Amino acid sequence: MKKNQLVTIILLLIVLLFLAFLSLYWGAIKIDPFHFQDEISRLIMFKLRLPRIILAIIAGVGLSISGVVFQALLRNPLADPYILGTSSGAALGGVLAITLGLGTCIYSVSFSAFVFALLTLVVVYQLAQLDGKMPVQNLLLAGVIVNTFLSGLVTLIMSLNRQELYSIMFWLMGSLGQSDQGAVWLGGSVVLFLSGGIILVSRHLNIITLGEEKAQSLGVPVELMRKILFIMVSLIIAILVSICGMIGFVGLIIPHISRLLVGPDHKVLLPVAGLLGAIFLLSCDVLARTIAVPLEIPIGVITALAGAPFFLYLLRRKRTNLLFEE
Amino acid sequence: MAYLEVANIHFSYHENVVLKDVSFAVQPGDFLGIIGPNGSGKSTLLKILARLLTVPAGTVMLNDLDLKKYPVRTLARKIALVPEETSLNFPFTVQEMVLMGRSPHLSFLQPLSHHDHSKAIECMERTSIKDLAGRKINELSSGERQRVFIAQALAQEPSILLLDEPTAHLDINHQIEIFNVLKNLQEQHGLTIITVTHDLNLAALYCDKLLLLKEGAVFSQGPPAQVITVENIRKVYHTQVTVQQHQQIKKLQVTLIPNH
Repeated sequence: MKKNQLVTIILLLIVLLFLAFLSLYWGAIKIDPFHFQDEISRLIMFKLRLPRIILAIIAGVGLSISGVVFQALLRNPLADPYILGTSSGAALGGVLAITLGLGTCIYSVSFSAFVFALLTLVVVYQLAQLDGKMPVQNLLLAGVIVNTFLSGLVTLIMSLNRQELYSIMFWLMGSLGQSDQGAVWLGGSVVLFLSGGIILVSRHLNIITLGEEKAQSLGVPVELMRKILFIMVSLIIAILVSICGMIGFVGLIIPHISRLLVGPDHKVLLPVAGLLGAIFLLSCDVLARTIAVPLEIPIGVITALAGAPFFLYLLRRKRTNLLFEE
Repeated sequence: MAYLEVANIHFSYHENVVLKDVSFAVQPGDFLGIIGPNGSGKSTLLKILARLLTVPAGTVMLNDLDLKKYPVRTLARKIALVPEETSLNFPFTVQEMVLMGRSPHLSFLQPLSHHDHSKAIECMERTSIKDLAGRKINELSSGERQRVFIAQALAQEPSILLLDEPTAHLDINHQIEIFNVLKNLQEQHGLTIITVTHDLNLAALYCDKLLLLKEGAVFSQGPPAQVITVENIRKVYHTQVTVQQHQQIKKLQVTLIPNH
């Protein structure tokens, strides 16, 4: 790793820690960092805000890293982590659980979402299989079709079940307000563990972007690696969507911003994207819970409204093509 | 040093027979050109040699061992492939691209070492792209890019280099440049070169041996003087040509005769 790349990573880490510290005190109720002896402040900080900060970091890392991996595996810079339908599957699972009246138990909604996300994956992979291989185009197409179908189902359920509309909507747009700490810790550690595993094989990820034939002739067992990586990122997404809903945009733009910053070498790109994603999501969450007190804006709204213009600005300023052009 | 022997291979995509009873041998240090019209099975044959496709009938032996028996990474240290097209979706630098060629020499989680970096530099020198090391691959001309792919393949330290139409889409000075690089690798470094090409004149100038395919079968093989004849070209390509001695060197050149 080059020296300036290491410096970038360390800087991002410092920014993230600083921001995490700051958001412990900042919110609808501002807490003075130097005099907070009362029990309520303590409760707000450690029972409400800390799990939320941790979830924001985990979701930011997981979404960005899986965005990078999806773009590399599908060799398509426009791919995002939700492209294979995992998210719609999770949404359907979650919505079904809410509709069936299981909404009071946050565990059952998350669990149902997780199971449906995995089922969707199995269906998409089965559809994409051809002679024991899984061509990229098939996978994309299968993902898009399944995605569309499931979104249709979700909308259908929503329109038939108006009294739950608000809770379903809020869930679909994503929220880090998950109060169950068990799910956050369990899901979070799995997400971080998988992300770490992906960073370990970054050298192979570089080679896989050159296409199947080239990768195979370079001695990389492409089919196997692709399958394992797809399963790893899909697990990350299934876990994240079931804990915090569909937080859009992060998994698409953070990989691009990171690539603009440090180039396409996955060894550097993956950690940078992970850190940047965490910083971005944490900042968005602070905004989501402070700009319209006492209301809370769905975080997906903030990521899109803040992310899109910033991304456009970066593109224009650097005069870089988003798509690789000959 | 590598000895490659192809014996009676057949191959078909579903119902379509692509290769029929193809046999030939490649000696260490050979420069073999695989020629033939579109759809004659050239690229398929090359993919079989790279083991991207496995043959249902017949054998490919590398150093007297069946190609199927080689572990993936071991094979990648013996045979390197420059495909007709490498997909480029991300703007890697030239150096990053060439370093990827070191992959077969690294175990699964082993990081790149100083040795790998110096090997990569050596390969960039051999293909005269050292000055481009920090440039992004998408900013290069097609000729430069092709040399990057050759350097990447060289970083595998193979004994056999396979190329699929390395000069397609290149203008004549880049065509000559690529073939000069290949000839140099053959003569100075003892590399065995096997290339698919459409350019009969380049093949006649640079290759020591040619393999002419027609509809998936070997129509003729041997030194260029034996393979590139008016008769063979008429039968295989259905085209009228004259074949003459090159004006300055002892090589053959093909001239097309228009039929209007």
